[in-house]
Amino acid sequence: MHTVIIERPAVNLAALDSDLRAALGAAVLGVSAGPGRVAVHLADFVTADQVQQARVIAAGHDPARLSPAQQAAIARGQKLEAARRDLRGPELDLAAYAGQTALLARLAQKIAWLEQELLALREGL
Amino acid sequence: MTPIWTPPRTWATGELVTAALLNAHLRDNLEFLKTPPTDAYTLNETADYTTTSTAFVDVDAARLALTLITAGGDVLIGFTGTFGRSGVTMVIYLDVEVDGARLAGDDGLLFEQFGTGGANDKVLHFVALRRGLPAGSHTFKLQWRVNTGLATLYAGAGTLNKDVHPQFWAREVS
Repeated sequence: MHTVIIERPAVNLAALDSDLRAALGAAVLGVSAGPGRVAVHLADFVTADQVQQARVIAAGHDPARLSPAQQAAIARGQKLEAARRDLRGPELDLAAYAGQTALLARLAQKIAWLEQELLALREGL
Repeated sequence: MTPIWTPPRTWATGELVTAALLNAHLRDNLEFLKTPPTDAYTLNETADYTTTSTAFVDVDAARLALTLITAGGDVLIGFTGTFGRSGVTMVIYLDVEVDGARLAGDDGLLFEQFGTGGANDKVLHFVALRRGLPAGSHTFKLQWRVNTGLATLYAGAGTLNKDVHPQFWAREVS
């Protein structure tokens, strides 16, 4: 394994990992960071050019720039928060489904049960 | 002064016991047993440690690299620390590199799995015995890897409510 050490503070490790893998593919085993330094771990078969490329990417890394996965996670979180804000109200009232067909009433029961399970999971019950 | 271990002498009948012999075989050996070769490091850093490496790598090749000058025999190695994950289902593995070779090999000494809906932070700790090291200088490095995602080792870096101080240590025990 080749390890390239860069002395630099503050990295967005997930984004740097994503950038390196996009550029160098399977040659990248991962990235580590500790106080004041970043280590890029490369496979044995890397070329000198790839080592240099990894060094340039790590040195020029902008910690403020998010990886696609981080952007997607933030978008998912915002969507969920919006749904919680807009849709959360009183729990499902099964009495409102009393006159419906047996199939629809059963579906309402299932949804009410799932609602309770989700609430329990979120509250750590 | 570093205590020196001398293999205990087999005394002969009528042998003159000198001060030098007593000092070497009683005083020095007892001092060695009282204070065996030991090295330890408690993290109190300016930043936590993180990795995405899927191959075992040093957590910190400078700070978490212990050195013992042993009299020869077994060495006990220990670690305790708290690890976090990056929000995905993932596994963290730990091992120790002794003089350039991993102690356990394969997937290491231990792993901890972070599952869906489970805790985001977990304590990992181990005590491991490295048997039969020859006398001399030996280096012990903590190593880690993940199967996917990003792992964090909280290192006393002031992270809110996670300002904990992992410890890595090694001591000759025989």
